[in-house]
Amino acid sequence: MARVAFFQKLTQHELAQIAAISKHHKFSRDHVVFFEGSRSDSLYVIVNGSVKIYRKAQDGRQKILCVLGSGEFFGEFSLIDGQPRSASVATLQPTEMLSIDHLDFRRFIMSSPDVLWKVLEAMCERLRIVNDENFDLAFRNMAFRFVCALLKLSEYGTASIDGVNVIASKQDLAAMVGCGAERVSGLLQKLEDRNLVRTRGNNIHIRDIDVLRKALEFAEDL
Amino acid sequence: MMRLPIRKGLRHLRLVLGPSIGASVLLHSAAAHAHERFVPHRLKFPLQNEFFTRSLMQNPDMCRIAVNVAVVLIAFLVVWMFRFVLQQFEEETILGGLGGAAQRAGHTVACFLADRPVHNKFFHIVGEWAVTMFLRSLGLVLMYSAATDSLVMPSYPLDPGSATILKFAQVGVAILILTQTLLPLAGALLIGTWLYLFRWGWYVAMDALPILIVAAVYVSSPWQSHKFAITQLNSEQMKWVRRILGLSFFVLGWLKIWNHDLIAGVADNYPKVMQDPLVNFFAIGTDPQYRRECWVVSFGMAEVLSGFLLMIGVFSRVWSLLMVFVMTKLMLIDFGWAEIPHIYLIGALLVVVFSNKLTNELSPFEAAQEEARRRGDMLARFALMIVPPVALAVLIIFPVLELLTHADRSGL
Repeated sequence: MARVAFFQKLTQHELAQIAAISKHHKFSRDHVVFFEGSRSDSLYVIVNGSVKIYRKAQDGRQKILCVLGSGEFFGEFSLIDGQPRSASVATLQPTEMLSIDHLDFRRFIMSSPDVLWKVLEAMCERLRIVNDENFDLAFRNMAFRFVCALLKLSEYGTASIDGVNVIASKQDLAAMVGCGAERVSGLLQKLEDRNLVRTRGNNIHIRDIDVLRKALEFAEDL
Repeated sequence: MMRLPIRKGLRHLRLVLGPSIGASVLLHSAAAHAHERFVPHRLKFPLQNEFFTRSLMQNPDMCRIAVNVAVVLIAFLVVWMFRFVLQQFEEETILGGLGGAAQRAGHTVACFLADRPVHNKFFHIVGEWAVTMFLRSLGLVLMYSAATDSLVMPSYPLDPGSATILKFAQVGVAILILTQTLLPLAGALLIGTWLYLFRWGWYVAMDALPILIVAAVYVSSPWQSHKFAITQLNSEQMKWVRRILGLSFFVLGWLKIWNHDLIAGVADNYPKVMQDPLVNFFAIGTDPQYRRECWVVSFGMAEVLSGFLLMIGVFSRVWSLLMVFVMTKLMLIDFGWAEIPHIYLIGALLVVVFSNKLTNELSPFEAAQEEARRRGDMLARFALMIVPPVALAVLIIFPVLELLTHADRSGL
């Protein structure tokens, strides 16, 4: 537990307290941790693995709001305001996480207010991401947003000698970028033509992260 | 700055109220009277009338039915009040062990049953179609009424002296509806027609209460309605559709017990309608010598129950779907062509079934319950789940039923 970023500043005693009030979960891939509108108000901390946070439109179309990995947490909105969940969360790969109930967490932060700062810091970080995404939506084209989504996913991919492997369906990528799956296929093909990625089914192999990051500069031309 | 919308709203209200009052005054000289036309309802054997006039305390059979209905009503209300607990159980225990497509499909079904939003492409498309059908189906009913010399509903034939003008008026409103032109005016004219029906007795107006469902939507539509593809209703419109729809069934249910000969006459002519499992369930434990009387009360109470739950928004989708089944069965199997105007009610019910903007009137209790949960006050939480349902069920059923036993039926 001490390796998880969220708990790193806690003392041994506080870690023991957290261990006593938290529940351990192991989820397989494509498991919904909670749905939008759900009444649960626990806080979840990812021990290892990754999840996507998404919302669905009335007609079932999906928009991935963000992807989170080891050490990060989610569910803080309902934990604080008690409202139903504002988005759904599903695992992208086999994921282990801890959950802490609202009442237990409230009692715990009375003795360790530093943890609340951690929650606030994370909320600010997410607000910054939303600001960036709003900016990208207004001023960047789809190709730029697509490369950004691939770079974000690469943070949770598997590193190998010749690059990083990312497992993501075209639907998930489309839901991150805000376009159709056909457009994703076209963009992946263009990156493949430029020798930046190699795809096989849901497996996307990124040859060099730095080169892909550099590709952002000419993403407008993709 | 704040006065502008209010003035605009008042102008809208004036424009809508004017035609409705005008229509009711203009039509005042015309004549319509309700009598047996399409669905025969002549009583073949007289009912034992004293059954309906004995106080609940001296009528164990009616009391038994009332208790049965109250128990079912309490059960539905309590399950509703427990729905957040059930939702958590469903998501964490039942669906939590599944994952993947099965988990999502299970969640969609649970959302549908508990009136939660269903984010599904098929559901969305059917919902849009249901709104389109609902907004136009009254136009078809009016055309049918005009073609059968009736006013709004085929049961109310027109007086030959004013039949022509009223038939043309109905076709005019139907054209507005079918072409989606000046919908607020069409709504106002419908409200005016409904007010006019009071001339023939409040009973007739209550019978025609369902036309107010779509009238409420029309009056809240934009004046330039022909320019918009209206395929969705907003939350406020949905609230009124649900409330008036529920109120219609609720009132008509009580009226069936009050005017018991009418519904017993229908059963005499169509004995198959007496084989309804829900209605017969309410009559369990009653004296067989009052079989027909108990059936009439159970039938009315079944409508009161479903209407009340719809009116307050408790399991709206389930009850609406059940009523779509009943209405379709009446139209296609029991009564046949004579019940074709029911397509309008079926349209209204389908709008509720496929809406993602359902609300309920018990939400203040739910909010208080959630507050108690977050405080960790379990006693208050469970008290809020049990006490309001029991109080509501008792207050809704017993006083009105007792009142009906003293009601004057001499004018029937």
